[in-house]
Parts: sequence; structure tokens; C-alpha cells
Amino acid sequence: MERGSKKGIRRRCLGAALALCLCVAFFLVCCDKEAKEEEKKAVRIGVSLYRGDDTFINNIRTELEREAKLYEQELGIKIQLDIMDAKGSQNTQNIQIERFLSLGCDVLCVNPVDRTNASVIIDMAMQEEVPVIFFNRQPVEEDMDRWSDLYYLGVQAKESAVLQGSMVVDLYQEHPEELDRNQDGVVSYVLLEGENSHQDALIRTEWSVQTLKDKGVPIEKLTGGIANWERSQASALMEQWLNEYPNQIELVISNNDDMALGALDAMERAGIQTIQVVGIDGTTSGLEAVESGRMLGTVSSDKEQYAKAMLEIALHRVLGRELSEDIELEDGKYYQCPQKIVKKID
Amino acid sequence: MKREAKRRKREALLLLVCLIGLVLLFLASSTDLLIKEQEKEIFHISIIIEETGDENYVNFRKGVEQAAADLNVDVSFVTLYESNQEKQQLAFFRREQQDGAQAIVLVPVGKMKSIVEESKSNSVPLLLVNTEQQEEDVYGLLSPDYRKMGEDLAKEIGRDWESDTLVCLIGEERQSGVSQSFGEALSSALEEAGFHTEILVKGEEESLEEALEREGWNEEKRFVAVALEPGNLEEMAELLSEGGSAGSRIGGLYGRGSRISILNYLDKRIITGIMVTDEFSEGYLSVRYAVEAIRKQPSIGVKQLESYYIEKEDLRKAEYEKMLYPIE
Repeated sequence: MERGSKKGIRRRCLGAALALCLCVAFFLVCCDKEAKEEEKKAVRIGVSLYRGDDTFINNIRTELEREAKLYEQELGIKIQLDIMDAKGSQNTQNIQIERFLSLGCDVLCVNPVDRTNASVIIDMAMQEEVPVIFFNRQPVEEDMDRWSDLYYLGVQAKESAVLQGSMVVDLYQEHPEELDRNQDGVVSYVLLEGENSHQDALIRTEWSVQTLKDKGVPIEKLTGGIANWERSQASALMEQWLNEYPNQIELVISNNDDMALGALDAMERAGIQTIQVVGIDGTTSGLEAVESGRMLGTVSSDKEQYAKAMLEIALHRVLGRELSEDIELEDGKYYQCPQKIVKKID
Repeated sequence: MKREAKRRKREALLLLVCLIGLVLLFLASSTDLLIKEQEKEIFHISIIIEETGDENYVNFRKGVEQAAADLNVDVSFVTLYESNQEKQQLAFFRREQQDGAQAIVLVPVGKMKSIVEESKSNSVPLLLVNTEQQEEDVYGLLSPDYRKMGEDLAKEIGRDWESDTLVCLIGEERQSGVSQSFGEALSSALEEAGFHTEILVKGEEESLEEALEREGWNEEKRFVAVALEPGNLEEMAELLSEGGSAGSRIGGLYGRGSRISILNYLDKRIITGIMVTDEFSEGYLSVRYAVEAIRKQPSIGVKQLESYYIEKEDLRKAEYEKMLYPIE
């Protein structure tokens, strides 16, 4: 009996000691976490670009660096941007992400090379619990739904296309002769498309043409081709089309500004100035071409807002800062950047 | 019965030993509790430049990134909020030291007595880049000789133009130290050779076209223009390519720098000739020397980089192509 009660007391003591240990451990963990949160005086953001020589991406990068400085001054904390160029290789990008994580980046901004293959990046980030903001190239929905700390930032492709189409519609309604040069009652166009794996290319193509049809512009497609967003590829295609369809092309619809500029390069080489060209993105060189009257117009995304939204989301996740009123996340993870038409008159 | 109990006890003991062995094997293979994996040392280096952007440091950064990958370095590349602000640079220098930079590579804005003193008292090695200021208490200095660069360019202009030609030196209100040295050497070498030089100072909020107009350069006789800063060289080339009124009066355009846009204008013969240095190597070496400084290697002293004069025809020469368009 005495033996049993002694055993009971010993068990109770052991239980109490264990509970005490657990409490101490819990307290220490909490203290450590609080201390870590308190000492956050710098935010390190790893940015990986699918290709650094893409004009639009380069514009975003410039804005991002500029905005980071403004936030740094405003918040009084260091914002370190580690920007790397994946040069079109998913493998290189994966290595870069690994490096960012081992360097202790607080958040990642990724412009994925292969949007259908973002799972490796997500796995690595999830393991280290580092939020990822994808931009410009949207990962597939299944990947985006894997974790609550994944975000996507871009522009609405359908909106860009409709705005691009309406630019042409306006010109046709005001000065049809500017488009239908040969007065045959039909506007003959060629189409320059972005890479077929990009979610925006298909939508931009479909909706810019659809807008023209919906608004009653009589159109006829002469030809089209994929120039992978690149100026040089678009220039080569346009050169070929100018030979194949002499004096027939009246309009060039391009999925982005770089390809539109490529078409203009080919037209300049051929000494042609009568073809109207429209682009999308509002890159620096694209806007210059509109300003100088070489290009009819472009749909410009607000790059300042683009970069601001990216930084706001990053700082929201790292520092717990509230998002600005103008940044509303759809489903808690998607942000669509505003865009507008830029024509010579503007 | 007893033997059976003994056997069972032995079996239990054997099982326990096996279990402990397995635990030890697991610890040895999956953690570094028993066998410590050799940890790679990461060096933390900060590079603080004198400008607000890295447009003039593209090839330099490529060299930095290459060295960072080769030597296991974590680089923090810092640009200023406003160009050539001494106080700001000092504040960034302090911040980087506090953030744990083991060595700092600095492109100084002005006289940097306080920076040198602070680095000395905190024993953070300091490597100076792109400057002519020689300090005793720094780990070393890595830079092209900007005075020689100016003199060499004057010689090339002397070869291309008659000595009575008017030369316009385009400078800025808040000029960097190296541009001052480059300009001074260029100006005195040109004057010595009989050229008449005049300085056009571009205001902070002013475009080059406005500055030329303000000083009446558009109405002057033909002249040769030399931009002391790469940014102004690019702007001037852009003006010439657009064919403004100043364009018809400018006989030749010279300067320094190797931004892609400058090289493109040289390729189009809008720019006559430029002075360039191997910026990729400069970036690579600055990281390498900073690592050596962290490893307490002896000071490198003053290391001068070569500079070269190139024209359109030189762009495709193997030696320059490799230097101006480095493959990462």
C-alpha cells in the first residue's frame, strides 16, 4: 500500500516536471519568435526574371528598384533586392530560387520561365515557409491553389486586347481611309503572336480581333505568326510578309510592343510608312514609338502600380503591413494591374 | 524455466542494442550531430556605388555576380537615393556595417575621411573602386587611371581634328570625382595641343538640348563634343540621332563608358570614339580582393586597370568584343 502511494507520488512528480519542461520550452519558443519579429529591420527580396532582356520585364525591374528605394525611405528599413536573370532556363531559375532561400530571403518574386512547371519553386518555398509572388507569367491554377502564401500579379489579358481593338475601331470610325488604304472596303491585317505557352498570348489574339468584329470593322487576316515576344523574330516575319503580300498589309496587330517595333523595323527597311501598327505593354521604347508617330498606339500597363503592388504584398507578408486601399487581392491572392490606351494624341 | 528467462533477457538486450545502433546510424546519416558536415563559409560583402542606378555598372555587376558564385559571396549592391551625395553614402556605409558586412567595396562620392576612420575603428576592410583618392588606411584601391584616360582621348582627338577646332566639354553641376579628373586632364592636354576648349555645365533639372540652347551652342561654329559622364554621352548621341539643330554643328562626339546604348551609337557612327575599361574584370576583382581582405591577406595597394580607345571598327575585334559584351 505504502509502496503504491510512493509510486503514485513519484509518477505525479514526474508528470509535473514534464509539464513544467513543456511550459518552459513553449515560453522560450514564443520569446524567440517575438525577438525575431522585433529585430526585423531589413527585408530581403529575391527576384528571378524569366529573361532580363525582355523590354517589359526590364521596365518592371527598373520600377521595382525605384519603388523599393521609396519604401526604404518611407519605412526606414533596408529593402534589399537580389535580382537575377534566369535567361530562359527553368533549371537556372530553380537554382536561383535555391540560392535565394539559402541566403535567407524573406519573400520571393518570381517571373517563371515555364508557367506550367512552377511546382519545384513552390515546393522549395513551402519547405522554407517563404511566400512567393509570381508575376507576368501565371502558374496553373492547381499550383496556385497548393498554398495560401502564393500570389499572382499581372494584367488582365482580355482587357488589354479589348483596349487594343478599340484603338483600331476608333481610328476606323473617324478616319477609315487611314486603315483601308486601298479602299476595297476591308482592312487586311497580319498578326504577331507571343509564345504559345504564355497564358496572355492566346487571349490577346482572340479578343483584339473579336473587338474589331464586334464593332463592325470589316477585317481580313492575311497571315500571322508566333514571334515569341521578340523584336528580332517579329522583324524577320514582317520582312517575309511584306514580300509575300506587297501593298496588301494595312494593319499589324501585335501581342506586345517589342514585336510591334520589330514590324516597324522591317517596314523602315522596306521604306514603308503607310501600315498602322498597334502594340500592348507600353514599354519605354513602345511609348517613344507612339510619341514619334511611328506606331498608332499601345495599351500601357501602370508599371509604377505594378511594382508598388509587388512590394506592398511582399511587405504585407513580411512585416504584416496593411495593403493600400488601391490594392485589392482577388481570392486573396490575385492582383490585376490597371492599364490604359496610349495614342499619339495623349 | 530459468534458462528460458535468461534467453528472453538476452534477446531483449540484443534488441535494445540493435535499436540503439539504428538510432545512432540515423543520427549519423541525417543530422550533423555525430559527423559534422563541412560548412561552406559565406562571405558578406557590400558594394556601395556613387549613383542612383546601375546603368553604368552592368558589366561590373556581371563580374561581381560571377565572383560571388565562384567564391561563395553574398553581395549587397547599394545605390544612392540621389547621385553623388556624400552624407547619404556615409549613412549607407554605416548601415551596411551594422548589417554585418565583412568587407565593403566603395565607389566614393567625395572626400571620405569619416568613412575611412569608421572602417578602421570597426575593422571592416574597405576597398576603393573607381577613384583617384589614395588612402593609407584602406585595404586597397582598384581603378582605371582617369587622368591618363583624359590625356589619351586628347591625343586621339588631336589625330582626328585640326588644332584650331573648338571642343565643347560637357559636364554636370554635381560632377563625380573621376569625371573631374578625366575632364581636367583632357582639357589641359587639348589646350596644350592648341585646341580651344569650353565647358558646358548641364543643370540638374535640365536636358542637354536645353543646356546647349541656353549657352548658344546651336548658333556657334562647328565644334567637337566630349561628354565627361557616360549618361551625357548617351543623351548627346540620342540628340544627334534625332537630327536636331545642334547635330548639324557637331563634327565629332567622344566620351567614356560602355553601356550597351553607347556601344550601339558607336556602331551607328553617331559616336566617333570612346574610352573604355574592362568593367567585368573590375567587378570580379573587387569581390575577389574583398574576400582576400576578409581572409586577412596583405593589402593589395593600388591596382590600376588599363583603358582603351575604341572606334566602330574595334567593336568586333575579339579582344574588345569579349570585354564589352561579356558572357555570364
